Amino acid sequence: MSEILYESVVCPSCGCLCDDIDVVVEENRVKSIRNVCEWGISKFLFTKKFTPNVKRGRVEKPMIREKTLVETDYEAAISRAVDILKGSKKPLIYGLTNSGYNAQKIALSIARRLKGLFEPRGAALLSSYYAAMGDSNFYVAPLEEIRNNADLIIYWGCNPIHSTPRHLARYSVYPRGRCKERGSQDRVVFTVDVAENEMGKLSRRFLQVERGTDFLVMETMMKLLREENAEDYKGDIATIENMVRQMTKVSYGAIFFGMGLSAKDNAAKNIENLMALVKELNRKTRFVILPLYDDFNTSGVIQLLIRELKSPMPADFSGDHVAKNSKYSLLENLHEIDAALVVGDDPFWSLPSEKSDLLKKIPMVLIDPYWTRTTNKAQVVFPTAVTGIEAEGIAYRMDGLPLKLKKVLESEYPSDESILGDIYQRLQ
Amino acid sequence: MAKLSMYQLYHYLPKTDCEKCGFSCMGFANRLISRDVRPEDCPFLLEPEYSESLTELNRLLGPEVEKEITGLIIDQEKCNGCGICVTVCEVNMEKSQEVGAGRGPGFSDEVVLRIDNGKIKLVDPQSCRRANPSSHICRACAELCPTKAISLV
Amino acid sequence: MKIKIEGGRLYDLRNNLDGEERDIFIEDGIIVEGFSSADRTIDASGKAIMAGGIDVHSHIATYGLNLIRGTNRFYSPSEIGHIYAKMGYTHVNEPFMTQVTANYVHHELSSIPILDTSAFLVLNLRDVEGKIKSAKHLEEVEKIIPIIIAGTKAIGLKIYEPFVKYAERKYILRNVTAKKVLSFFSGMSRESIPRIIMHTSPELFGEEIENPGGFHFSHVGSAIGNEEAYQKVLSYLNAGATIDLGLFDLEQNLRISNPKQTVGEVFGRVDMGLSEDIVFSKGKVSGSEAPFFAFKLALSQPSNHISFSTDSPANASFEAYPKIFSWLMKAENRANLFDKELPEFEYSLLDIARITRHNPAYILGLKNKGHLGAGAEADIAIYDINEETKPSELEARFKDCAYLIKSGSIVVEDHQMVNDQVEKKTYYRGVEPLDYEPAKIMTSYSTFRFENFIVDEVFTAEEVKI
Repeated sequence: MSEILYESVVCPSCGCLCDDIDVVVEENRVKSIRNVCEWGISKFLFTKKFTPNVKRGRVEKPMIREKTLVETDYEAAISRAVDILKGSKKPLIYGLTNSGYNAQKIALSIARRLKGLFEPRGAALLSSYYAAMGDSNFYVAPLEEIRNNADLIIYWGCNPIHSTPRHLARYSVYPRGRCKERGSQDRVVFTVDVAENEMGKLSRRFLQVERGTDFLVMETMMKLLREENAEDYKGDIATIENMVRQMTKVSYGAIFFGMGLSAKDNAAKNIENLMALVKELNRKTRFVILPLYDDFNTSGVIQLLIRELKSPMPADFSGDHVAKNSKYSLLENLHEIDAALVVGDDPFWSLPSEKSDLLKKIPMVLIDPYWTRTTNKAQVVFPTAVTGIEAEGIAYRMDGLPLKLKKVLESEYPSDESILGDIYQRLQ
Repeated sequence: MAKLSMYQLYHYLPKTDCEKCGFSCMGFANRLISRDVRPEDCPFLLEPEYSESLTELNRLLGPEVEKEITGLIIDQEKCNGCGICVTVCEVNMEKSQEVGAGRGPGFSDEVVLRIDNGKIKLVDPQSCRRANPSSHICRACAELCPTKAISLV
Repeated sequence: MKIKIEGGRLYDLRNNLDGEERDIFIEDGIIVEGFSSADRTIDASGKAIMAGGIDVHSHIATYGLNLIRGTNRFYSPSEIGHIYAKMGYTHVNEPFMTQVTANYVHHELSSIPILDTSAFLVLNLRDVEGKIKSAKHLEEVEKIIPIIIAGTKAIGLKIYEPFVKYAERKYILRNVTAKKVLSFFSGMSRESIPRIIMHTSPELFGEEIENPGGFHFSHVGSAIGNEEAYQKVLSYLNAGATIDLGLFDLEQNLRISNPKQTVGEVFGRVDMGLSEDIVFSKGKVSGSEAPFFAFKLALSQPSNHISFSTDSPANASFEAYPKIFSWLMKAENRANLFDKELPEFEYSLLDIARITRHNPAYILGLKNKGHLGAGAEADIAIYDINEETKPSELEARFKDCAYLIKSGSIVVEDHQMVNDQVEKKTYYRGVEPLDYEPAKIMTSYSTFRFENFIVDEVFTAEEVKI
């Protein structure tokens, strides 16, 4: 069989959605691949993140739980899934940040039909970011403009080298932009994180903060910007002063924030202060702010919620007033939920144990290409094609611009979109 | 040449950390890579029982030295494929219009450095600035590598 | 399905119908000459029939609006589709799509039910700054622009800033004056780019435009705050330019503008790569003469060169169109708008059809739209309006059409929305092939590769190349 070259494929790994991946496929396997980072190649080779030589176990057959998980056919699995969801009073649809936009859309329809809850992974941080835009204004830019203009890049509560490896080289620090012709020589990088890491080496300033107390730093920065007394801050005030001085001097700053800000359930507080800080900075100079997503389509699910419900909050269809929900995360009320449909996520790994323990007690339908900690807790498990490699889809980049995900490999498994579609049809 | 790793060389060292050469064995392996020392600088390796190791080390290192026209040493273990080196390389930028703007070089673009299968690869050492004695010595890729995967002789 | 519409009065400039009673026959989504038996007959006696409305300039999918929507200050896509459909509109053109946001704009537009859509591509002149300095590159740019329009699936080219300005002094040599830009683009041949849309601003009217005939000036109402600018627009119209009006409502609306034109509360700003951010704000345009002159212009000399618009949501939200139609149609409806005297001219139904159907279809190059002749798309709005309709009732009648037929399917029936899942299309201006090497300069500062800036059909509705 001959080699097939797919040029300019979009990488479905993180929110960067690099669109310059050249893949050579031979006998329905990825033979070689160019421009992809180590995280991306793990995705294309179906291996563990950052360890391209350790294969991940694929779920190979639909399974339902008798005493243990047993293989079954697709129809039987769909029937069982539909029974579980139909029999539930308040099901939760969860995950979805690694699915295409159309799959997310069907999942939202399922939640609507079942009068259930719909929550994307990481909602606590993301919903608070989009909600804070209402109070503190939004200051956004496509990544091209950040690359063209920014002379100060701040990474706050995230490590792009791990979560979004090519972000530095493609979008922020190193590429040459229209007005930043020397690339990184024209820019300054700051990093704020809980522990010094690789970013320390390439940052002009590295500010270490105690986990979950970022909002205090932002408060201090705002005080300094307003030339108020900030002496009550107990941390590294010298570095903060220094950073603030530089922040007001630059012509265009960009802040990228990550999951670090959701530590200790302080997401809302941190984001609120961060947005207020950006607003304050915009009085003096130009600053934009964007989240750094480590799942490839987190942005898409938020766009979907805003489009359909005019609110970035997780959706709650259970009440009389459809979907109006003012909580950043519905997982606080997990004990009310009596069934779950989890798509492309591993809650037993990603959620704190006090929350995932509650999930153990309820029947769960899982759609995921891989075996995870969650697989063994599920009642129904569907194997699925990996979106962006074995199935087409649409994904939104971290700046809210969509790209088409291509299909480079044939797969015997259905896409999550078609599984969700079948479930949705049977619910009618 | 890019495949040489410190651990690979360390395997053939006596691992005694006697520091007769001035370094620990790991340190010695590191300097072997950067060509700051030769295998013969280790007194143990000159002893007969290590003769096989010595031959092997020289085989690993020997012919490479000539090929190392750039003095670039890449530790693939450390590389995470972030592509910073590809973007900052001046020659890459001259050779591919894509690179300057942060995009990866096109499939048929002939560049010096590119990310292949998630790791950095020196595909055309001849074109590297360091291979050309008349141009000034460039250190961009090594200096800006966040994971220290690239070092220079 | 074959539909016959009986007894209605037709208003259609192209076919010289000014209230004549004619039957309309629809087959396979197209208006046909006639057939013997209909599957469905609609009684339209005593009602006014027009082609589906075409909005030439309404921000419904501009990048950034979704963030406004997230804080519940803008309509959802389904609300947009429903409100427009109830007003008898079937096509809306988004006026602000940049090359980078093309996928986004099309995806947003395709999520709006019922409406056909199209978009203007806002050209970032910095991408061609080296070329537009001298007329010798004209030919090359003439080749590049159709490719960029086709690649982004746009229907026309818009110039938002008729200049290149760098804030940083070190790039001062790259600046290009408005004069140069305007003379470069007015030299373009009409075959490759039929009409260049200019974003109008007081600064633009401060410049002398040598050959205004090749331009369309959008929402001129926003930029004519005095008699001098008003006269200038009239002279451009006489020279063959086309305009859309940019009329105002007196309510406060959401503005999408450059920082200088913001008023009141600012919601946020987006950097679209132009010399200034695009700012979303809301507040009353106070102390400005612009609304008065905009209406004065609208009531001066209706012609085939004037289209209706409000720069929605800036000068007025699209929801206010029926109210503004009622102002245009009856002097008594607008009596209390301004202290100063407006012209007495009153729009007829044919004039309304002309500025909301005929002329927009011409500007956008949609040959099968905006009229009711055989061969046209069966996009038809039927309003409960006739001689007996009182001036005070006009607004309500325009807001709530009796029937709306879209591509031959009934969407609104007897004032009720019956089906919003009808065929919808994305209209764009296409050329082949797209791999013209010099066109790659357009993506030299983009993060996308050239191949990926071409909008894929997953983001659009059914594509129609014109």
